[in-house]
Amino acid sequence: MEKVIIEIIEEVLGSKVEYSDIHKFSLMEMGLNSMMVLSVLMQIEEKTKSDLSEIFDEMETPNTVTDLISIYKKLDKQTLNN
Amino acid sequence: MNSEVLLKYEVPSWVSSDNNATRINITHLGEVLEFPYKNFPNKIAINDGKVSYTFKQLQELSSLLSKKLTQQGIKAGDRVIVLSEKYCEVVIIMIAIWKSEAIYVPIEPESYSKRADFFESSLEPKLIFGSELHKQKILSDVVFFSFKEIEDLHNFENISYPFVKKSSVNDIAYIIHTSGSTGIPKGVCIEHRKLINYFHNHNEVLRFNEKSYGFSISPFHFDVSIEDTLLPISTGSTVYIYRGLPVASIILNILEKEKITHLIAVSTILTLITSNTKKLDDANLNNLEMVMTGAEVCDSNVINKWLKKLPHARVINAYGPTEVTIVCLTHTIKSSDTVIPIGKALTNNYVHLLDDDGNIIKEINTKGELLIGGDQLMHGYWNNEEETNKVFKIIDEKIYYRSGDICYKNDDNDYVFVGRKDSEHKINGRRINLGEIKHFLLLHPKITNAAVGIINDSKTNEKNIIVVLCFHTEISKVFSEAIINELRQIIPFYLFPNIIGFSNDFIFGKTGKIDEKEMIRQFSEKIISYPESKIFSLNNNNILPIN
Repeated sequence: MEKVIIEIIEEVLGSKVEYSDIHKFSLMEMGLNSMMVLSVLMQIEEKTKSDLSEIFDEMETPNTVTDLISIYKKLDKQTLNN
Repeated sequence: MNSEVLLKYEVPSWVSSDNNATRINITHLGEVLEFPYKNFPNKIAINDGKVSYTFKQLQELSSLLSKKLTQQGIKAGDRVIVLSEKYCEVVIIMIAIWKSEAIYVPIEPESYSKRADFFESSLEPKLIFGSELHKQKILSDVVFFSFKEIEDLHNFENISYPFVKKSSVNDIAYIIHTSGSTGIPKGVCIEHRKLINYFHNHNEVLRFNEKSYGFSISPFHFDVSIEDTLLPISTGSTVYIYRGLPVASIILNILEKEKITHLIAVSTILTLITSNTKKLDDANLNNLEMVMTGAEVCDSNVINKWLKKLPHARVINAYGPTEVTIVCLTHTIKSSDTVIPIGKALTNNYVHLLDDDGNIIKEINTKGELLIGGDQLMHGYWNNEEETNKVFKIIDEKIYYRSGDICYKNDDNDYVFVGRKDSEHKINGRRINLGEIKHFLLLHPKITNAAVGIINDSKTNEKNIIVVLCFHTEISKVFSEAIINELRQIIPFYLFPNIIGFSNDFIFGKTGKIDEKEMIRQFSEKIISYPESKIFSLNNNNILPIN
């Protein structure tokens, strides 16, 4: 799952991400501004074939790769349940 | 509330109501809640999904806070900075500031932290509001109030301290900062009278009333937040304050669940909301009466989806520089519009097009710079007479604002936006100046010069900030990554370049100066072959992707 998230981040950033960096830096420190984070979330929705409104009433900006993985897991589970 | 009951009360001039209702002339924003407070005290005024406030609570809490501000020594004309998170409580704060006759200055926290010395020396604020996290960003010993102060107010008895207006209607109500060409932000000063004029003029189009449900998504440091929050609540509308990321599926859910009637979203946000086509198709948005967009040219595909989805509703394109109080031209979009105009001037706004020689253009379909005058025009830029004089022009003894926007008038006498005259651009709803980006880039000690431009992404049609950075030192991957990391500490994220070229070569123009436009043009042409890369090395006319 981590690999999928990194691939999405790399696609949005347009550059490679060092695996050793992902738990050291926040998404902003990795160069992702809020619009880029939004693109990542939209791609997660697409990949999990689910939508964020099924889980969240409001979307706080995720700060770390761990946050994104957690969102991915929740959406993925939601899809399986459906 | 039926119209019979409503007749017993006085109604502000901008609220649509029965003709027999008594009209009151509100002249100061300290009085902005009088109408809903008297008529609908227990109705929800603002709600963010977790916290909500009735009109009675808003009125009382803002009065209590105002009293507290006065006790702190805040007096007429003092600047109060609000490091503006999207909290419901900011509405209470802004009204309390006005009740104290001080000036509301919302500033984005990140911008503030990068320029705290400028804001504190230029504005000399008497007080700063922010969350606890922001406290450390303040340089001087100015008084800091946490947003938590509002929670503490709940412990007071519910006593309404009546607002007694003392200062002039010409006093400044708020200062909102825009990007400046020299890298120094310009503080646009809007007076109480001008904002009230705006309420009157724009609500003829928006048509907010006590039955409306608004949706506020604009950050409070954007003037659009006044349009989507303060204007509706002044009419008795309920406003849903959305503070999260603009995820299409979530927003569409809220629009449906909260039965929103009025959606105001700058084109970037509207595009995002529209991106989930399936969700948009499935959503029941029958309550939506009006969708207003603007700030940038909106993609006609996006507009067409809304026209198709909401055949009963009005879809409106709005235009307005901060300097002319939020919005001054609008156009109700028709499905037959092949090019979407910015439309015609609101009531009491006047527009002209000027050619390069300063002559007024009378002919249709002839391009010129758009000038706007009338009763929404700003007072000027804060402490910046030079910049104020540059943008004001007198025509027939009336003052006009030079927008820098190139427009033409079409066959229907609607104005159509074409582009910018100078180096200002709108990206993601923000007005940015290329000069400001250059200013930040040159703060880096190793960058000897920089060229800055904007290019359109051919796939997404989004605007990208493109820069060529010039160095005397040798460029390597490690070097470029280090520079980028250092620049992230200097440049606000919304000004950070999307595509960067590292160069040892300069291109000189005929005058001997570095020809920035030519450097950007050549760089833009070369990067087409590398659509996946964002960072490049440029040497001896060769280009090499670094990432």
